[in-house]
Amino acid sequence: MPISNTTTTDSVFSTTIKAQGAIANAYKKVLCQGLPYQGNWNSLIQDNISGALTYGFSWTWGYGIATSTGLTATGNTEDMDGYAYNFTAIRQAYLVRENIDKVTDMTAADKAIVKAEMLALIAYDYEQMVIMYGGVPIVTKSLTVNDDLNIPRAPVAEVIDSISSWCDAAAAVLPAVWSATWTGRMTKSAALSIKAKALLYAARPLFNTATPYLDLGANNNLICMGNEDASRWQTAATAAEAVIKEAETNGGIKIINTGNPLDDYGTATSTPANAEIILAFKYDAGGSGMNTFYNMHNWQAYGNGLTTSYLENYYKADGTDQVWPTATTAFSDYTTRIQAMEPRFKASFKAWEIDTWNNPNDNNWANSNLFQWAMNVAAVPVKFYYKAGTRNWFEFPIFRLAAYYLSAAEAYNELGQSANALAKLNIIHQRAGLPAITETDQAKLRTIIQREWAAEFFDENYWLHDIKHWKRTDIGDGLIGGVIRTLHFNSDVGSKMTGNTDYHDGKMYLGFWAPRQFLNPFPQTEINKGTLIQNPGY
Amino acid sequence: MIKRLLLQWSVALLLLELIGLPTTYGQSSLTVSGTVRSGNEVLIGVSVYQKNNINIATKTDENGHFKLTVPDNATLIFSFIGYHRQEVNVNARPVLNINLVTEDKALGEVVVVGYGKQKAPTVTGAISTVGGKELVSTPVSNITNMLVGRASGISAVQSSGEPGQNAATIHIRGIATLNGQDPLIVIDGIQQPAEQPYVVLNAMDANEIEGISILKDASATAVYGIRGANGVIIVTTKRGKLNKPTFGFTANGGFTNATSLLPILNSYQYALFRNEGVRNAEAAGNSSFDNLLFTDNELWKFKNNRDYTTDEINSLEIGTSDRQALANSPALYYTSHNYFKEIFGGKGQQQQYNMNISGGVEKVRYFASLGYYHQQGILNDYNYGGSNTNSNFKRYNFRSNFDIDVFKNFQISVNLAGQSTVGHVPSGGYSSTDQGDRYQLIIQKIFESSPFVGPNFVNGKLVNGFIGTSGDGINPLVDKGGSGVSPISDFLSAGTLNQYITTLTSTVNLKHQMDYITQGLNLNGKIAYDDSYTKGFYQTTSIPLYKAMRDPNNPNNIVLAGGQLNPDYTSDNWGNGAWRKVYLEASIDYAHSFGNHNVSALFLGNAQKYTAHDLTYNTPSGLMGLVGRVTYNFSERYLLEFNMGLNGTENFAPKRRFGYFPAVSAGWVVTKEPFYPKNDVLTWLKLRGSYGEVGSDRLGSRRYLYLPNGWSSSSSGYYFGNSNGSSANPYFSGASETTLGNPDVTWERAKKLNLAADLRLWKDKITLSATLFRENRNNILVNLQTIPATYGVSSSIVPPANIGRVSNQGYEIELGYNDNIGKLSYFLRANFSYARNKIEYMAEPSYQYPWMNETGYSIGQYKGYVWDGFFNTTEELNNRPYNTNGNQARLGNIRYKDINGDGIIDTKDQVPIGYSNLPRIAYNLTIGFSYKGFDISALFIGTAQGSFPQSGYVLSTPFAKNVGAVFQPYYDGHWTQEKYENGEKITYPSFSFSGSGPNNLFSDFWLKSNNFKRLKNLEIGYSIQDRGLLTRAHIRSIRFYANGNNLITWSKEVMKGIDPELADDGKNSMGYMYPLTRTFNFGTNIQF
Repeated sequence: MPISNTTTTDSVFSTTIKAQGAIANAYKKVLCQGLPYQGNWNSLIQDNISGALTYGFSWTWGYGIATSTGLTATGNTEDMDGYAYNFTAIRQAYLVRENIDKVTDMTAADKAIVKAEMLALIAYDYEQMVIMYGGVPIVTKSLTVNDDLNIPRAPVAEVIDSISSWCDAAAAVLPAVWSATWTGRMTKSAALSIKAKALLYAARPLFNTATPYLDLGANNNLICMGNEDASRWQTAATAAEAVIKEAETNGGIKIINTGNPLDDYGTATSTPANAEIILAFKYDAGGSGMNTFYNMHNWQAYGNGLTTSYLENYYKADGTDQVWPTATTAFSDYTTRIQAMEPRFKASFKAWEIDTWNNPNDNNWANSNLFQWAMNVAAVPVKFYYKAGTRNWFEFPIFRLAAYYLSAAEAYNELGQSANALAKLNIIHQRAGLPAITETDQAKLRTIIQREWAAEFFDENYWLHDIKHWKRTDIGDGLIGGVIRTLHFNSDVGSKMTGNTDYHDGKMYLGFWAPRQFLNPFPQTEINKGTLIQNPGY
Repeated sequence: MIKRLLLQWSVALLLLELIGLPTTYGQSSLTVSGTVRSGNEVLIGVSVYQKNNINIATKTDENGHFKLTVPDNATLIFSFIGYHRQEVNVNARPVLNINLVTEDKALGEVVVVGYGKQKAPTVTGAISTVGGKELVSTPVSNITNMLVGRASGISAVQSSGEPGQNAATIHIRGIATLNGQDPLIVIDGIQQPAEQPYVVLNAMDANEIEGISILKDASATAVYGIRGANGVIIVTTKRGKLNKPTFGFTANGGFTNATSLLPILNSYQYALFRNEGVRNAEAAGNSSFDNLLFTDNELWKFKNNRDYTTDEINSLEIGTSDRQALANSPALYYTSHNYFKEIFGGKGQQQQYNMNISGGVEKVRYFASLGYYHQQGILNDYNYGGSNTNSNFKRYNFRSNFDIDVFKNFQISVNLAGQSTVGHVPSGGYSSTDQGDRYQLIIQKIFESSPFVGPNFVNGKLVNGFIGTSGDGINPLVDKGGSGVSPISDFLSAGTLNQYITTLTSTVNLKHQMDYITQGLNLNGKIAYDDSYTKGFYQTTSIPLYKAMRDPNNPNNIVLAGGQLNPDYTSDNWGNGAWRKVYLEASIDYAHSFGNHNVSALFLGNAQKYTAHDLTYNTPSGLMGLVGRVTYNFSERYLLEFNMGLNGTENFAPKRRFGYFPAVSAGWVVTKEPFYPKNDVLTWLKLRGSYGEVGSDRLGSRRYLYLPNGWSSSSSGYYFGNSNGSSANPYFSGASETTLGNPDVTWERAKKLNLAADLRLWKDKITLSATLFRENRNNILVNLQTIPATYGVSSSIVPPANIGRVSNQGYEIELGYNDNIGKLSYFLRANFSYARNKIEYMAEPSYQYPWMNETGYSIGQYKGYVWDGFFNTTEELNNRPYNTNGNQARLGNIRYKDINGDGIIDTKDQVPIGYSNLPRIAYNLTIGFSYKGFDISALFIGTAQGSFPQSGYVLSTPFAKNVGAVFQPYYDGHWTQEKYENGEKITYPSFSFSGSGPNNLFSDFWLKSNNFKRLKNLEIGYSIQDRGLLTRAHIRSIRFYANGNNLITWSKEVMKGIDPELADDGKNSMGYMYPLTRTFNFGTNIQF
């Protein structure tokens, strides 16, 4: 009999201090979903395959998905840890939830809060999964080998309902705010945000239908809600309003608007734990972690460049549209046009030959310091690093209050309440220093709201799934598939650090799109086990 | 065991006779004297006494003489332990010379079985035996290699031919499990630790070994319980007999070389072939390899081993004599080397000496042996600059076995043995303990170099570079693969590894006959302690290396620069380790005959503990067991046997530790039936069968799988709190599950059935034995690939479960023939073994096509694409299915079959091809003749239905990195348009740098059959027959012999240089292998 010196479940959940390790691990495992936190050489960021950014390098997973194979059941998806890892994260949360009562030096109230946190984390992972995969198996506890492990996929509606009820249950217990020591843990606002995001996607066209994007026969309810119901938009609007109310009333959260758009948007997206953040992925992995894919000081990030297709979502600072010439034009024209862009663009990108707008007068972010090699991209991303100086890490904003203003705006517009929609939309739009939107035509306003999502939430992991769930008709023709455009420089040689001569807008690559990609494939290895039904087309 | 029991009975009977019977008087007396012998040997201490009168008794002296005064019509009894008792009537004779017959011969052959011995005719299990004499006639270093071809049911492959690393991997009746496959090795009753199965065995001196039993079926192995399922090999060492001391001395020596070497293409053909590849690339519109093209002048230079053509010499501004000298000067640049041969093509010396003494006086019998073995590697011994890179293996052996009769009914046996080995191998420059990695380091540079990469030795100096860079014209081949750095210089400067292993084994055996309770009852005890210590270090010796060029002013001058030495380097602690093992055993056995009813019983308990530094949880690994055996036979005609093992290991949960493994067997000797007519055709027929269960606790490297789920407190944590970005947020370390326990984990269970018939025909000249066996192994611990992701446990920590199943079945045929023609006697022995396993269940999800599963196929079944010829025409090329592996193909490339017909070549088209590495069929044939003093024996072995993947990297990719080596068969057989049109035989695909297509995808093109036949062993000996001569020289016997191993090989498919007995492990399939060797050996054996 070995004298066991290993840690067991009982010893982990003996004291608060030890249990905190399990809690910390649960947060990390759940909230890393879809983020390249491991810094793997072949990771991708979601906008590599949404058509917003170039696909990365030829060795990154994004390359094949964007250009040749699309999503496949044997390949990788933007859920980089893989489908199975979601359940590893969920298991960790359940283990904490089920064992926290064993801790001897924690009050019952605190234990209840920990349980609610774990429930919210589980809800978050399901919310992320249902958006990507449609209906997934619902696990309700930490399983043992003696349980029936062959849990089939639950219908989309059932997953949405579960998320909704978990969030309600969690929100009833969670605190509105945490002390400074514990910032980053689940709050009431965060739980309501998870619910609101899930309900928004439930209302959007991809799910809110009786006839899914591809027919799955008797199992159609695994990939859509099973009927079209306009009232889901009301539910979504209510949920978004609930977030706004809770966040602004009790959560100390607000839309940062000091009348200085570049600074306000930069702060809201970049500054750790700023007043607009509801939930962030607070994972400082130092120089080798996920920041390497976002921080242009690292080679992993060099493969990312802005496409013209996405650039066109940004307004000029005066609220009008910018036009990019398709014929060869002098480089000075590029400088002029790019300088005319709105503050959100300037807070998010660095243009050729121009020192980074979002780190003014910082040599670390100067043109000469960020240039790596000649590239044909419209600009390179520097978002999340507003006035970051030499700080290489950042906190990825999972939920920012602005998202719920846009969620509400989108829902109100779909309900035909354009005034309500504009009220919510303009809070975000005008914070960016742009003139108020006044459009009341539902279809036109829909386009404007979608464009607002793009301009406000670049690189925040919305666009890829938004365009799928909106069932954008151009998804295969310039968004994900079809001709993906970029700006070309110096007769296609690529932009140089200085001395550029000309540029033009033109095709970069032919993107791959197939309708099956509205939802992600389950891994073939899981399908082989015989319990899951694969999404159609894979 | 039975033999011993019988010995004890005779002692008991003697005692009864001495005590219990009356005496008689009245006849005239006579002094009788004489000598007692057994064969040529005099016997000391033989009891001589008058029947019915214990007072008239004596013993033979040291010359075997006795003298006794008895009545002239008395009957004398000669009694001696180990010999058949003789009664002789004096009949007034004054001199009586007596020859005693040993009981062994009297009782017939005795077979060593688990925890005992049995008379051969009464054995019902499946046991093969190999005698010590057969072992020593194979001049190799390891016992495992000596076993190859010597018995049925044994199959073996060998990982390496490197001295010290050249043991064979033995399987008994193939493989029947997905986990540990090693058989149990038992040496003089001591089970070797499962963690170190072969260490002691392979370091033994064959001269110490009396015989080896190979236990195959449940009846034979059930007594070993959870360790018996993979079969058992029992090694019995020699022991002394009551006798005058006998000194034996054996000396032999010889040499080894590679059985074959990889055929590397010479520079001229290499240049022709690479030019063809460059042109193929050009034809495909790729001109980026043009700088690799050799000119006609260069081809001439390669062909003629010159650096200058006649025209070039004539254009030089040098004198006539210099021109003449240059015209005769061998190339510095345009050389041609086979570096594989230059490293591995040497001869290694081998010597072995053994000295032993055996004998016994009445109370003490002894055997002691000293051995020395030395084997050099086959590497060419450049010994340049003290590099000393050849492999070298030395072994010192010591053994002493004592049997002491403390009292008449109490014996102590003491075995003490030591082994010490010193291994010295080239390191390749990296102190990896992984053999495959090390061979890769040594060999990869050879494969990635052109045959003209460097000149090697120039004027006795080793060159490792040319002076001159690209474009300066000094080094003409710098851009074409002639860097000047020869693999030899890398090899010689890479250093060596040295390893010392010392193992001591000791056993004390106590035996007490309890005839005072009932006859045939014995009490035994055994305690054993084994200890092994390993120490190693890594060493590099700096050697002088030079850069070379021809003087541009006069190319006859070869300039050599460099030669600086760097400090030598030694690194301690390479592969150090230590382990020890304690074994305890106690048993009671009983054997008795009641008329025709013969019964025996054994009840035994044992416990063992293995301790090593690297064991998980730092706890020793322990086993406990009970053994039971009951045998019964009626008149040796009807045989019945029951065996069982009850074993426990702490690897399993407390309530699941002990397993019960029973086996029954029965036999019927038909020819002993009274109704069976005596005849000369079928003189012996025995039918026997067994069925039982055996276990295996070898479940992979994880121990204590039953322990509850473990957590690690060093897993990923998270950052809470807020620093506003001015500094890092506070980190909270994480805790998460690391291992999941399965409290139900238990041993593997094998159900084995064995049916056999033994026949002797034509006055016993022919022996034939045929066996059918089937094994169903279940409870095999496997990782559950079917567990859905929803479980939420990463597949690496999902607890494995005992749900795998493998079946294994086959047959064995053993045939023997003995006869003589006058003084020429000859024998023939042949074995044929077939074993085929199948994975019945391994918790594998079912794939789209059944061939994608492992389930349903043999363990280790190779899978790959199916070769469908070459693309011979453009039409074939254009109509090919899309290949997901790059989809490139050119004329002459390998064409693959679209198995599932979906128009795409992808993983779904990878199907079972060939067999597994370990052949299903192994057969052997031994033929021997003896005439007067001469004897000759030859062992042929062969296998069938095995495969070797000759597929890795350079083996299937010519010109690796554009400059790598090419193998001759590829060049000779490669596809060209011309050959195709002429209908010539094409055996390899075409080559081109660009678009060479996926020629090297793993397919049955690269999977070769490793079937072979080989003259494994040949021995010719002569023993001096002139007894007078021997007596005058005080020599009992002397024999001279020559033998050889792996002498001739016939194999069809694997490329020359790849030995068909080579295992597919390490990196052998990539050609990173140390060639297997052939041995020629000469020796003499003298007995004093």
